[in-house]
Amino acid sequence: MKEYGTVAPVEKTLSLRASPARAFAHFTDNIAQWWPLAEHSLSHDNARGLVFEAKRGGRIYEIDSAGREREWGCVKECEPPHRVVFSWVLEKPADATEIEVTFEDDGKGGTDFKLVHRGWLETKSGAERRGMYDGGWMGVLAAFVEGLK
Amino acid sequence: MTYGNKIEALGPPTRRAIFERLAAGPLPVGKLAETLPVSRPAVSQHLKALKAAGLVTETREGTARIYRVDPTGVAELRDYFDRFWDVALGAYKRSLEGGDA
Repeated sequence: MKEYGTVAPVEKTLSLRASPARAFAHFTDNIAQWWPLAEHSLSHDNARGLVFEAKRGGRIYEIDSAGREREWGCVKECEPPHRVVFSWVLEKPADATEIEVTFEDDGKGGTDFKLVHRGWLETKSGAERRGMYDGGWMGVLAAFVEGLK
Repeated sequence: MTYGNKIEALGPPTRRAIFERLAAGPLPVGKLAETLPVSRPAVSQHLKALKAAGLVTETREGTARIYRVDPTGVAELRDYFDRFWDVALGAYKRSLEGGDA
């Protein structure tokens, strides 16, 4: 979206004292162990679980106290233990924002971890852009921030 | 204007809908009102609130007032998530290295 300029991706790096295999599994399979669910979820205090299906086309969803599954996103690419790309939708349709996480062997038994959260304001044309914004990133932000309150 | 104000400003669904329409391109009040199930004065009130929150700017083109998304405001929203990931990934790193894995 040229008119508004660009909004740079959010980029985070970590140096982890764990192998890429362990780091990858902990980020995906074990997400419920570390994600601050009570503070950061769609169901707030009623959030009971969180599942990250680490495979292409896999779902990322939270489970509320009534057993209802609430969509967070969908895995677009999955190359364990090196890389995973997923959409960040949070119950809003279409491509909202996108997150790519990479795990690289640091040569010392640890992992160089990088997370990129992108697609805030992209140059997209016509219907694609329209669709993106109608159900898109602002809704995601709002829904997500709801979950942060 | 703090980040909290911006989020508050986007609370009402109609206001969020107005903001999303402006995100796709600048529009005058009349055009916005045409596509929403609310009156023109109501749209004006929402625009006023969005302006006060620093999310939308207003320019004059002839006799019309054109509204558009303020990129500075959008960047602040993005910055909010920048901080959010610090918290979440901090928890991830502690859990991983603490032996929960």
